[in-house]
Order: sequence, then C-alpha cells, then structure tokens
Amino acid sequence: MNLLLPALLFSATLAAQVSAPTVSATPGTRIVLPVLFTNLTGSTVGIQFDLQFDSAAMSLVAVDGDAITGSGKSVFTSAVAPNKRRFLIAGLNGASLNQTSLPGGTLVKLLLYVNPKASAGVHALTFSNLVATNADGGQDIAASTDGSVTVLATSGQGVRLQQTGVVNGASLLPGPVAPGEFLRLAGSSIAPSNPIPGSTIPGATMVFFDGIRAPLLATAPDQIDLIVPYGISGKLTTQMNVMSGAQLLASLTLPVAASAPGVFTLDPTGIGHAGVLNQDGTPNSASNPALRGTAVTLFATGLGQTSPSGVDGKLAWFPLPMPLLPVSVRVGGVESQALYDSAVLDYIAGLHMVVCRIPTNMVPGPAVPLLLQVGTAASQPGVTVAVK
Amino acid sequence: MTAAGLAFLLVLNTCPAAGAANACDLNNDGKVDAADVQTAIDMALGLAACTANILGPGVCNVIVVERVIGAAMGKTCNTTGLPLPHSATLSWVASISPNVAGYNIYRSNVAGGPYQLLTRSLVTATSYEDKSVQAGLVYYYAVNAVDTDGNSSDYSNEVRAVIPAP
Repeated sequence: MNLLLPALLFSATLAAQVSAPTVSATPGTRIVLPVLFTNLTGSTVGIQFDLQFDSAAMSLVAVDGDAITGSGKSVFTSAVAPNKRRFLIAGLNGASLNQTSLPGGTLVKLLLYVNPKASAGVHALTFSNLVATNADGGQDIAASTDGSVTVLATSGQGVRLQQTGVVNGASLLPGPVAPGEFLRLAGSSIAPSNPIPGSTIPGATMVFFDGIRAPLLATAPDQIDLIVPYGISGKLTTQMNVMSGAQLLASLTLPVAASAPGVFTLDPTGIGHAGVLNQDGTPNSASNPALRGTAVTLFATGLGQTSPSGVDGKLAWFPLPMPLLPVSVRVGGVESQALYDSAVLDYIAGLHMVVCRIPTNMVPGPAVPLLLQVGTAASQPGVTVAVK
Repeated sequence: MTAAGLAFLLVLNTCPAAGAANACDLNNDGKVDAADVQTAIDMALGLAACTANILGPGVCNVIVVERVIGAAMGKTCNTTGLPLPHSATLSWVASISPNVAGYNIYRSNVAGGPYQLLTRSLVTATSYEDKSVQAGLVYYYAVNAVDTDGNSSDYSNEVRAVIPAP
C-alpha cells in the first residue's frame, strides 16, 4: 500500500536528558560507561533515576563523573534490587548545600565488570523512575535514552581473542598497552588447560609483541596474565601474537602508549580499596586509615619505560628502575606530594611502588578517591584509600 | 516509508497541596539543615523509611530532597503538591499520503508492543492527549494512518512517556 507513516514528534519542553551508551565488552574484563546528562534549560539542579542491568552478566560500581567533580553536587546510590541501582544527584557535599544548576557532561561513570561466564549477546541498561527537579522544588520534564552492553562471543566463532579482551592487569580496563605493563588477555581457548608458563616445550603458551617474547605470569584456558615487553617502547602500535607451540592462536594489532597506569586493588576486579601500606607499614583499610600528612605506598603497573631501562622478566635490584615519565598522585581530588617511585625490590620488572604524602587539606573519609597520573595517562576510576 | 522523530509531551495539571509548615525538619530537631537533607536522600534511595510529607505522604524523591535543601538554605519549606492528574500529549507529523482519513493511537506498557488501540474512532488531528495515564508508570506509544479505503499503514516510530510519581 502507499499509505505513508506518520512520525511521532517530540514537542515537550524537555529540561533534562540522561543517556547510557551502547558498548561492547569481553567476558572477564571491565569497561567504563559514562552516564551523560544534558541540562537543556539550565534549570535542573537535581536528578534521580534507576538503572536496571543484567546482574547475572555483570556487576556494577559507580563513581562520580567529571560533571560532578568540583560542582558541589554529590552522587548518592543504593541497590533497590539485585539488578537495579538507584542514583540521586543533589547539592549536598559534606555539610555544604547548593541549588546551583547541574552541569552537563558525565554524571556517573559506571564501572562494569563483565562476568567471565557472561552469555554473549546484548544486555540492556534500562532507565526508570527518572525525576528531575529545579531550584523551586518543582519538577523538570526529563527523558532518558537506554544503553546496552554487547558481550562479545569468542568461542565457537573462530575468534579466540578480541581487542576488548586485552586489559590492564590491575584495572582490568582495555586501552593502549605500555612497556612493562601487567596485561591480562581474556579470551577463549587461548592457552592449554595444563599450562607450563615460560616453557618452550611444544604446546606451551607464548605471547610475542613484535617478535619479543613476553614474560608470562599465569595462564588458564581463557586467560593469560603477562608483562608487556619493554622493547615496544616508543612505538605507535605493536603486533601481539598468542602462540601454542608453533600454532598461532590469536593475533591483534594493539596501540602503544608511553604509559597506561593501573593501581592494584584489594578486590581483584580493579575497583575499590587500593592495596596501600600506611607509613607504619600496616595495610591501609577503613579500620586502619592513614593520617593526613603521613606517607603511604601504593602499587601500580603500566608506568612505562624506566631508568635504568626495564629488562623483561628481571627481578628489580639496585639501582631500582624509576619511571621516565613524571608521576603524581591525587587523593580526594587534592594533589599529593609524590615522594618516591620505583620498581619494587626483588619483584619482577613492571611492578612499581609509589610513595606519596596524604594532603593535609583534603576531606578525610573511609573511601577517598585515589588517582595516579603518569605522564598524560591516569589510573582507573573507582579506587579509594582510607584517610582520617 | 519512513518514520522519524521520537517524543512525547507530558502535560501536568494541578492537585492539592500537602504537608505541614515544618515538614522539611525531617529529624524533628527544630531546625532544617544538612542532616535533614541526608535523611531526605536516604528516604529517596530506599535506605530509610519514607516518612516525609512534603510532596505528599509516602512520596520521597529528588524533588523532596531539593525542597529540603531549599529550606536548609533559608527558603520556606515548599509543601505544594505536584500537579495531578497527569496526562501525556502526543503529536505527530501527518502522513503525506493524499487520502488519509485519520489516525489510530496505540499504547503499550512494554517497549516494542504489543500495542493496544487507545482510540475508538479515527483521530483527524495530529495531536492527542492521553488522560488515562497513571502516575509512576511508563507508556510506549505509536500511531498509524488509515486511508479512506480503510487501509492502515505500519506503526510509526515508538515514543516513551515517563509519567512522574505521584
């Protein structure tokens, strides 16, 4: 028939919009999803929404987005159901209150960990219970755009390893690789079930970067932990080949960065409390916080080339290699004095310790954001340290 | 055939005011401050029982939070209820077919349908107000065109209407 469709129009006076992206991810890895906000009329000062996700396929942690940082607003969350998280953004920051316009940009960063056994396919991120308000306590009309996470299949499709399955060994986030970076490959049938790391016998797992063999830390059928060779330093890309004996299992061209820092956390999924030692050498925790003004030690990887130059697989010894790039730390959003950074004595090249002083002018708490900057790259969001 | 443009229009009417003059003092300590704001946030997040009566009994959300913030910053505690009842107003671009007789309006509670026919007779205008919506629910709308021979087009694009609660 020739009857043409009518097209429904948007004609409301929308004040606020939130949206989640559509992304792809590999099982066993982490991705960062920004929840974007647009303040169309500038009138919105607070907003709330529920976000439903597939809790069987992924777990979710939220941290403040760039739009929130420094705005005087805070993000408050609760789990209203195993698969539904509620977010509320309002002008309460400590004891400080405001009714200023909510800035546009990233409200919340969702740190999604895709379960290793997550089923391939599209997993929806669905908004509901969206309410926006203005400074008069009236309601602003708001709209949402749902997102999704497509979990990539690897097995059964002839593809053993996707680029999204190449992640920093500390943060579990994908990105460019850096010399000396602890790296995790999450794929399917990329290593023998009974591996002998480092072995040269037929069938043993080997990973090469531009022909340079990488030290392996651990292997499992769907996962390889390794250290990126220092020989890729200065390159723009590197060709990574995963071999089982003479058989090429996977090959990817990866971007190279001067640094790709990741901070090691107590939780093996790369979020939450950092593995930090207080000045007295005891582990930092909510029950054993660091005092402001004291030094703490954090552990990280992906700090790039060092001086003296990194040697693949070598245990660090004097003189301890130190990063060539400038290193800085922010605690609670406040610049911290970096006192010392180097490889960790008697540990394999690629693991670094950074000693910094907790700023005295920061707001203490049991879970204060901790960010490591190496050159132009920053560590993963969602890492915290306890300070009092 | 193409369909383009997504949207909905929410039209809100009035309803009676609710709450008391000191309703923003949620912890009943004689003053409204950041502690009351935190209490309002906990109520909105479901972390505390919703005992506020600012936007109406049993209503705890970011609007209540913002009203408590306003009161803590020196404003009068706003206990005016939100306009009720709600309605959703749709508009659409007319079909460019020459012999269109009118439009059917469909609604579903689920994205993608199945849709239920909302209108008993063809709508000849290019807008429609659905006054049968309920607060707190989400509706999905689509329309189609019907020509003078009784032929129907496919559904238009779908729009989602989020009806505020209450």
